[in-house]
Amino acid sequence: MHHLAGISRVAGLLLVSLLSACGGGGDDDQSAHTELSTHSIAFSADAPDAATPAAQTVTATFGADIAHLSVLRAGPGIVRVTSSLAGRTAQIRIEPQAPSSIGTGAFTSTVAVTGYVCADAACSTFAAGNTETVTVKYQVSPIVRYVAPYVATAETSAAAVIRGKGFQGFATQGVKFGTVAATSYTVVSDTEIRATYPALPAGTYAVQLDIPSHVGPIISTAELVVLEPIAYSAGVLAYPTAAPAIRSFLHDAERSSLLVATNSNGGTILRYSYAGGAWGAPESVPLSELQDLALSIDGAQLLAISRTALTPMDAATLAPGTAVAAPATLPANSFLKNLAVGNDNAALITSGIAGSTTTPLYHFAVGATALNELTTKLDDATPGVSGDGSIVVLIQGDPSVTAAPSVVAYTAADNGLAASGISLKQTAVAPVLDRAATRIALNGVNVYDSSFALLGTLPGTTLAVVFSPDGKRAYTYDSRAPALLTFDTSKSAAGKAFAQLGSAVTLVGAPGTGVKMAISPDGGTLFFAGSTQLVIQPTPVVP
Amino acid sequence: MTNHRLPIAAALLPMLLAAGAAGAQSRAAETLNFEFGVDAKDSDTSGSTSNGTLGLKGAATIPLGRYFAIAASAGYSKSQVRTRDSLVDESDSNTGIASCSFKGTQGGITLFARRPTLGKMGVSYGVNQLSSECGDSSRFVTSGDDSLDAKNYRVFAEYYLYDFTLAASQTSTDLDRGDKLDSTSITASWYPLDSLRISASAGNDLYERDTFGLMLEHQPDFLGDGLGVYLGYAQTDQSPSTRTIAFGFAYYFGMRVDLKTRDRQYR
Repeated sequence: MHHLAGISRVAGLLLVSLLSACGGGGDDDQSAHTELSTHSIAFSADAPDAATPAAQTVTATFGADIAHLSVLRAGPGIVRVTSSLAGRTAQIRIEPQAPSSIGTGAFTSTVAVTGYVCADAACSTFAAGNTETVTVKYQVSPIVRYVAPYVATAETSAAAVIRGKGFQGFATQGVKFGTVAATSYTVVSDTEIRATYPALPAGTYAVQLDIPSHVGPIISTAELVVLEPIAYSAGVLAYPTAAPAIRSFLHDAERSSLLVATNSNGGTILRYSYAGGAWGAPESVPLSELQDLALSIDGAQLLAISRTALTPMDAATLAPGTAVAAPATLPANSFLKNLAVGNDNAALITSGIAGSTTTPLYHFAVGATALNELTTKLDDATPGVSGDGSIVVLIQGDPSVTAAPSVVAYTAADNGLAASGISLKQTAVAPVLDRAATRIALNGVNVYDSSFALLGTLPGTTLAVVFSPDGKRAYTYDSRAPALLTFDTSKSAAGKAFAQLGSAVTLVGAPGTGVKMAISPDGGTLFFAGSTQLVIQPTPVVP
Repeated sequence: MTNHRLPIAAALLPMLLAAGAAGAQSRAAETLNFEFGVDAKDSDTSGSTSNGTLGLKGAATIPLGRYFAIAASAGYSKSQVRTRDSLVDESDSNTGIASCSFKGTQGGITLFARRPTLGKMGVSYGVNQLSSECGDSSRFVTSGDDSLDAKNYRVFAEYYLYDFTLAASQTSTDLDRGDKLDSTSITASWYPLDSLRISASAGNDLYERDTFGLMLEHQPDFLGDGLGVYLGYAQTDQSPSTRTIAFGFAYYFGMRVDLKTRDRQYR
């Protein structure tokens, strides 16, 4: 019993001594502590195709007892984390992913820094000290680049295609034109939104996306230019040089002007501008071997092609920029022929050659310095584009071709070329489409819907055709009269002839041969360009 | 790194020597014996990462005459760091590197003198080689890369008092191209049964952090006195505190003796 009592005393003393040694617990052990210079960093990119943001560095300072520094990361926003040690500090360099790799959205990643100390006296294992984390926020913003068509008519609601990048990375809650909300919108893809704007007064409206979860403004270079409709009087405009061949004819609605590509003096661009209720004298810009003209999708540039080069010009001043030569792959004796601009602001450029031979098709992103050859080759193809730039239809076939070649459709949304399912040999009348590609006229005769189903036909004597913006009317310049005819294309004619509306209208002046037509955005005025003169003709009023 | 518990070890040493003149005589290690063990540890640091360690260890104790013995040991361990608590992937994208592990190999040799009725004292030398796999941006501070060598020296003494054993040790560890770590520990063990040891340890003032631990080792009779199982718990006293739970088995080759006898006469 005495022994047991002694043992108990010893045990008790030992216990007391152990417990007393526990005193002082709970203090912060700074020598095993790790500190970071910051606990949050943020990266941002203005667009999915923007440059990768610069790496950022976080400084870790750790105590004298730290034997191992662990730097780990999780999350999608970081491509690499590296560290460099100098004494008791470490520079931790955090590199974000390229915006093009990660895509649009708001991403949160974490970098965890943990200092480890020896867990036992012999340092055979480690125990963690504190873990400090860096929250890495990374926002890759969508960008709005274009709205097509960019010209609208005041107090008229209409649909438009909005192009850009990264539309599906955030939850879009709305689309605004200036401060006015779109009446409807659909996010079609990561690069395309289709929206309907309400009736707006004249003015310029920035196209904006309403994304509450996005921090900061979203860059938009798209502007909808809303114009009061102009009631042009019927009249004719003479050319400076007699009897030119008309290569191309455009109505620049924003600037109330008509642009004509002619062969005068080896190639000349003429511009007639309307101001103060009258047409001014034409401006003349020479361009050797001029073939075709097209406005960029935002109307800022006029793209002119000659047989061997594309020349971008300032659409307001017509000052030429640096010409972009056709690639060396353009075969001998072939030439750049026509172009059409899609709503991604890239031009599709066809080439031609004497005889029935396929030649390259080129793609040119406005602002680029080279034409990009596509794999598809076509035979003397002629393009036509819808008013919203969504579809380019290419009809082909040299006059010597006996078998009808395939009509090809190019979709600007995905830059895809595909056979339309139609085989047709082209005539002198280029493809014509309405604003939203609901009506497609080939050879000035066959009218198809957007799926290339034949709806009906126009007279075989048609020399030129345009659709009203809504596609419900076709206006033709007919060789038999010669006169302006109006057809009801609002509904299918089951492949038969469309009904003519009203009677033939004799133009205020004869345009001459090789006639090309254009129509104002409000559908109120028709413009004709032929070898004799330009003709301005109000749209016929029909039942 | 103060060694304020070094006097404890120094005080135990004369006790052992003074008592050495009395008591029944026996060998420092009765026979050559071997043991092999497997253990698992879970170490959790508050507000930080936790890790699980699996270790293997083997040891041999060789008698050197009547009063001395030498013990050699080798081990391997691997720790897997669990980072999910502190490294949250909010996107749940499973991208990025989020794992970390440590591997270690250990070897050591100990020379000791023992009077089985009184106690034991000795010195040991050990080497460790550690490596980490925690991504390119993680590294050992002293070496600047993902491996670290360390060697340690230890002096220790144990005093056997009835069913109690009082022990103290002083360890000095040199990290490769780095600091020298000194630590002291005291341990009190009690054998309520000859097959059960309950140990309480305190004062391992490594890095000025004291660790308090409790360990139970049992060598059940029904397993033929050849297999021991132990369970331990330890906690550091400073913030952030680290709690460690250990569980392991040890198999003893050769002599079948109870745990208390094994501790005092064989290893």
